[in-house]
Amino acid sequence: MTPERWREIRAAFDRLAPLSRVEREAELGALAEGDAELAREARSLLSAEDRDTGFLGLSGAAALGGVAPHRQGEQVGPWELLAPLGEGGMGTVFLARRADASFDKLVAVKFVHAELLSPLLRERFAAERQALAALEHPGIARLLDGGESASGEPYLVLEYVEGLSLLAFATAKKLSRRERLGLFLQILAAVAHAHRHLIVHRDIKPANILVTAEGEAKLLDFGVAKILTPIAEAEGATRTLLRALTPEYASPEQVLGGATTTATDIYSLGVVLFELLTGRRPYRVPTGAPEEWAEAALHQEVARAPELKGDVEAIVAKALRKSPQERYATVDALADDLRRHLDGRPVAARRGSLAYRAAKFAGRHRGALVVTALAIAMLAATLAVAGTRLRRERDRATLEAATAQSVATFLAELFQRADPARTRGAKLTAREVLDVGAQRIESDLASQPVVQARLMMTLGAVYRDLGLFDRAQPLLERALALEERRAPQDELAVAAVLNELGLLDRMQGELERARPRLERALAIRERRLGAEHLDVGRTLSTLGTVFRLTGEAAQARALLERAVGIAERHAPKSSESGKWRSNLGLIYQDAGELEPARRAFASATEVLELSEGPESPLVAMTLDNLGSVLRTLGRPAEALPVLERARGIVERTWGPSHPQFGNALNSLGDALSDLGRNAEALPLFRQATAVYSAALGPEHTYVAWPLRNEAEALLALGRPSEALPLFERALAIRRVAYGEAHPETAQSLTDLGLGYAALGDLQAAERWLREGLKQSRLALEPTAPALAEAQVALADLLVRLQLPAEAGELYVEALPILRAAYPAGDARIRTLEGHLAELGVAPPPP
Amino acid sequence: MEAGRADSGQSAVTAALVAWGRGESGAGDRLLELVYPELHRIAERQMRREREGHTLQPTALVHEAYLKLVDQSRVDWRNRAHFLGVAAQAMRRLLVDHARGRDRDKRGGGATLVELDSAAGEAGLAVPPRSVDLLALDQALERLSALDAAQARLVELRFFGGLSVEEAAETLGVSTATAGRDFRSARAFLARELGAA
Repeated sequence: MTPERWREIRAAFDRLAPLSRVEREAELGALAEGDAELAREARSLLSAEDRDTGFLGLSGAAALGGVAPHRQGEQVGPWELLAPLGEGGMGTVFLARRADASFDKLVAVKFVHAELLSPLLRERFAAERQALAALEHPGIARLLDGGESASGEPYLVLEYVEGLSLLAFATAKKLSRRERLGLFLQILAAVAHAHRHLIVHRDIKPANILVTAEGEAKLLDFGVAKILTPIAEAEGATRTLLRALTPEYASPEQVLGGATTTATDIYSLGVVLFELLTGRRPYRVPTGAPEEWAEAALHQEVARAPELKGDVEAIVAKALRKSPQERYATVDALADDLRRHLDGRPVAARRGSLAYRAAKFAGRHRGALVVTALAIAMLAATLAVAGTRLRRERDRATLEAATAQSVATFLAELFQRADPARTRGAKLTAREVLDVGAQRIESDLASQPVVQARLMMTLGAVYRDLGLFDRAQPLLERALALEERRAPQDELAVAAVLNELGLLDRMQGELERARPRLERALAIRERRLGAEHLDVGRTLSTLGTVFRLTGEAAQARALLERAVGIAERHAPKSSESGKWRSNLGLIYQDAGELEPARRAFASATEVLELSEGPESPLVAMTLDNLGSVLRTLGRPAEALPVLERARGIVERTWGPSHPQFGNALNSLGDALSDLGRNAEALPLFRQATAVYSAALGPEHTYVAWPLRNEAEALLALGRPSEALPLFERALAIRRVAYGEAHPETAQSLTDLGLGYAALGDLQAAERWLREGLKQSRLALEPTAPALAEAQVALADLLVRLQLPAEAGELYVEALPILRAAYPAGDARIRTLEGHLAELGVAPPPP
Repeated sequence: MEAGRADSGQSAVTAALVAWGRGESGAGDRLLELVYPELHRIAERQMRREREGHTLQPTALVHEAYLKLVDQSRVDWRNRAHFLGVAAQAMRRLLVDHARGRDRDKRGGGATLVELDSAAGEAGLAVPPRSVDLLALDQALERLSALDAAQARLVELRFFGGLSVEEAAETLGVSTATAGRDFRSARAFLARELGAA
């Protein structure tokens, strides 16, 4: 090769590389007519580049081969490992039983070696767990338990299915064609069940279907399952990474990296049915390389098979259509057609297929129209027959595929840079990886605004969740600007960014900015997705929490109850369900409905431990809330271990400079104070103040929490002169952030009154306490325990000021609030009743 | 004692960099002579510390050398890019020397494996970090250099120096867009060459 020739090849490569595969093929065809050698060179460079990304799943699986550990006899959680069952798509599976013999059935324990546990595998593991938790069906191997071993490997405990794989069973039992179809119908029922729970399996193949000696088919391995939550774009992109683990059974849209839907499973079921009835695959390929199967799924017609005639041929063909829209709409529709065939009734597929054939003969050039978007695009490019409508369709399809692919590969690179052996705690590495990513999005993706916008949104959200708000803000704002520019095409993308930004605003305490953004996101999502969509629930929850923080309790409650309703109806065991329940719990807690709040937090913890794993940051958050409500219920001794567990998780996951660590310290200090251990609580509050100030700025409302808590502890220790300045700082922060008539400002006003009372300045104390009660009445619901606290604080002072009549009235007002909020016999209630007795006032009957 | 030595090394390298920034002739060569031994020292130490067969991370070494050898308060980022460019060249030489040595005495049973941690990803196309046969890469780079020396230099900067596209573009005096494009075709070329090897 000469430098001149290399320049020509490079120029061709440069021109072709940014194009989609579809467009590349068209261009290469045109190029080959002029200079076949040049086209060959360009193609070999392009494919050398493509090979580097390849089928990620396959290389992952290959990496797992040959590392089956010898660990028989080992105990994992309560399970004793008996013998290896084999290597699954993502790890080793062991036969196991309960070590304490309390459960006599054998189970399968599935896990991945910790050192092989890349973030990708960890995510797949979590996906499987989440998918299975939602499913209960005789045709699906049940999830029994899950957790993490002592050495940190996550594991799943599944129903152990003793049986043969589908094809082996059919061959061994010499099943008739009718029996095979009966077995297949069982599988369809299981897949339909998963689809009804919005779960797509995505890796249906004979090896993932076991048949027991009784002839019951069980579907296994939801390791690449996708929960059909409405796609937060980034999530959709990440999941695209997992596509096509088994190219022989992969659908055209999986090969192209496009959206996977229930139609994807229907296609794979079509391949399985073809093989079950003929013993062969529906395509012929020369060597069986993954690329060949992928190519065949895209372009080859289904092979003719003498075993398949008439109805069944039509049914298989309809399941195997290249275009998802032309397949059966549901698994039930496929099952219906098979039953019709078994009953000798006419099948729907044949009508469709006759029309299909008629269309095929109607015009030679239009013949390919029913094939994939890919073929359409090639045809359009070469024959130049594309009308404008067709062109739009094509552009959208290829744009989506290309976007998903670019986002996926970019993220893959970022994740692969993180050291897989240290996904937890290795914050520095992850942070460096992010910084590189953020820099590259800006510089390298300028020509791909869609990809750029989505990645900016994703990284912005990650920075935000790491507490790096200064880095998150510009990325998310830029993403919004980019998406707004394309808004007419993709309004939902605008809503997604608005939602992320609103959450950032909320976390930064910018509630006035958060609100209109979230309201706009909600309006878009409701209009485009309907009222029951999980994405609508997401925005409802975020906005509801903003209302809670602005003190608009009724609105907050309405929105969060709606969100929880959506989650309960559509994904009761999902992370969302856990998160939103927890947010609703906070509303209950604010309103003094402590038992509902405790239940909400406890159930949220349970759901999240299962869906996210026991070391998840989300679990730490609900534990924090649970501990807090236990404290308010007067059960600090129960709260203490809960909060200590939360602090540990937070320190390990977020690290010691994250605001969340401030929360954990603050809550733990509170519990110690409740137990009278004020001296131990002081350093925790001080540390929390330092963490919040450093992370959020010294004027942030969060800073006021540990400040006033520290002051309260100082009061309890008899050091009021040190407490007063802290109360004052907290009040100043809250006045600026919230104004006067806000629960937290009101609390700070009362705090100062208590401080002055402790110092002996009763006049000043009275002024502050009266103001505190006045603002509490304006800001709080009449049942809020905080209102009773303000009433009792003022009443206690009035007793000292020799004003018993007014004091008695206030005690009488406060008593029913405390009785409703706390269990009978609570110390606060007894104290109050004692005060009333001293004043000679009869307490109102309970 | 140790600190004193590092200090004098530091001021020499910094001075050479600043001289280069002023456009003094010969400053680049002087820099390379100063940087190579320090890189060698760092690499040797790391290889002793790590288990046999552990991979080297050239960009980490180069950056470590930068932190050690350059007084950052006296140089701007273009000086930094230039330093890293020189260091990248030194790094390539060092690793290839090392790999040859290893081939000769057969202790490692083959070529040194180098994790190309900065080589991944360009214009949204990712390469999983992977190990590459160094001598094969060196030879492929030579072949590329014969076709387009600037492209080979760009790869050297990115692979061995860990320079970002902008930094590499600045060092080579081309636009960022050009550097990005050049790098992509260069990488495809290398992938093809190494895949065939």
